[in-house]
Amino acid sequence: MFLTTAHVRKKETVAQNCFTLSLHEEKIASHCTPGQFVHVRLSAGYDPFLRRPFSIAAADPAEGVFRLLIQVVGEGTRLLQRIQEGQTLDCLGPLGSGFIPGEAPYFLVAGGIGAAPLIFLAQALSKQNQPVRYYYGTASAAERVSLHAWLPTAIEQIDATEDGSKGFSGRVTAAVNRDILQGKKPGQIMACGPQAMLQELVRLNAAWKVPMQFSLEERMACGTGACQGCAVEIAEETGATNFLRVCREGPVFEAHKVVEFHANASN
Amino acid sequence: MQTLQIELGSLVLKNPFMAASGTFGFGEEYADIMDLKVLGALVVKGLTLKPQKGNKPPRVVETPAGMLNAIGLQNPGLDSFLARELPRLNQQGIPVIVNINGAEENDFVTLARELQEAPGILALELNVSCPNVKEGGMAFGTSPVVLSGLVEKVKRVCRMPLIVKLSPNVTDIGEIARAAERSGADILSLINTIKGMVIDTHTATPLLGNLTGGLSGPAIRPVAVRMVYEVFQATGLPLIGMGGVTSLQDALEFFMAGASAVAVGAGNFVAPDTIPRLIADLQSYLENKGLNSPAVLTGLAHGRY
Repeated sequence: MFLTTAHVRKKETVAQNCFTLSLHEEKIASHCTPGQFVHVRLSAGYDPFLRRPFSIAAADPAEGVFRLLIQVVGEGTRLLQRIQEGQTLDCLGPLGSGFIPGEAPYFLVAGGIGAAPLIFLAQALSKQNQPVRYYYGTASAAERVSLHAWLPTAIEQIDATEDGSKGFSGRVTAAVNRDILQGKKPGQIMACGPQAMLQELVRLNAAWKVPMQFSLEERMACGTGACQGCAVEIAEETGATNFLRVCREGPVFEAHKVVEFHANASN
Repeated sequence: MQTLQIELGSLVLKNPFMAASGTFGFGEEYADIMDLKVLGALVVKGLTLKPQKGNKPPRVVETPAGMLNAIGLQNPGLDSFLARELPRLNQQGIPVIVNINGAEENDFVTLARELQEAPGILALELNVSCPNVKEGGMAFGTSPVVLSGLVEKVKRVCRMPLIVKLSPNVTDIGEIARAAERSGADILSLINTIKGMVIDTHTATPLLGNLTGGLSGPAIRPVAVRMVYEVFQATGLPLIGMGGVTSLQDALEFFMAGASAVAVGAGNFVAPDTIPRLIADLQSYLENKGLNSPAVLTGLAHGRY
């Protein structure tokens, strides 16, 4: 973990309310792994107060650059959107525990801005010549980020939109289910997206029985583990449950251990 | 000769800046980015006899110039602290103050007794002001009678300096401070967080899992400064001031209101290097003013009108 200043090399608008920042900071770029995040200070002041966590969406250690994919959802991200190329950002990172290698083939399932950590993961898996299918779901085509510039060509990308304006018409989880029913069997599923999407994956996985890892979100304060604010209830092998920290033991957790998805599934 | 060293009664710190309980964990989390030995003291996360699971999420939410938290004292318990955390803190030479919590008087007394024997602890901080636990917590710190009873009992088994951490969720903090002083407190620290609530208007539901939480950050600073000022007049005890400190300017307000030391809490989350920066800034400030010690700043704002 480094407390450091990153330089904004490039800023691009990539979809409705969505932009990317290419940040030059060698220590973070060379130490981060897929699934980790950086905690970004919004201004030199204290209102808005807290840093904002963003998954690392790509890293190029040779260039000393890492990228963030940011959706504008509130006051903090609106402030961040004003940053210009050439300016600097106060970054704390890389933070958290990322994805753990599983068994190929990999199905990566992204919902909306949840695409970010899975892009970095897809790049890393592709370098190891692992077979990857990248499922990307959004509500409509207008919200989509064109991932062609990010994803290696070897990776098969399956698009889904809920309004049918691009690719599979319906939820991304239904697209995954279609392919599995047609005999495409994943060895490992890695997912990041809205709660409802993750919950649906857990429901469908009762039939698939595939190991899944989820990158989770929770309201976060320090980002380092000190405050224990970003708690998620995790079941141990013994059946006992504990609150672990999304920022430290996570953000990536094995899906079958996340209590809330299973509590909901049994209702 | 200029020094940053300060004395709070028999508690001597190499500088007046501490990390407030619950904002620096057990020190592990920030070890990558700073030398924890520079801290005047690290007040570790609130400790209970048995491990505590903590409250259900969401546990934190941002508010204007601050945040609410309702962690619920999640901690590994006394045995794990003694076996794992304290030896590591001692090995690294970090000055440690232990914040102790209980659901009943005996919990505090047992913790205080057990910790007397442990090495490398500078002082105990009695947390009678946590707004986020169902039993104990703030209930001990809002009645002068209840507080006196507890402080007396803990004091009987406590040979090290005893700090009592005061709650702002009272009508007259001076009255509570005097009760703590009468019953044997050596030092007072203030303020703990102010009880608050945020409602999610989309779901018409309180946002925190615990419904309410404790407000911290710059939003509470004027309240904290006012309370330090009042407690300085109400008692003769040395004070540790805290509440929204992010800069030397903020710290100076607390010193001038009557604090001898200042703790940084939620500010650490935003700028983890706040304390090293405060130490350097205080040093330059004293040099520029030709002052020998931060002690001369304590209480300067009194008797001005």
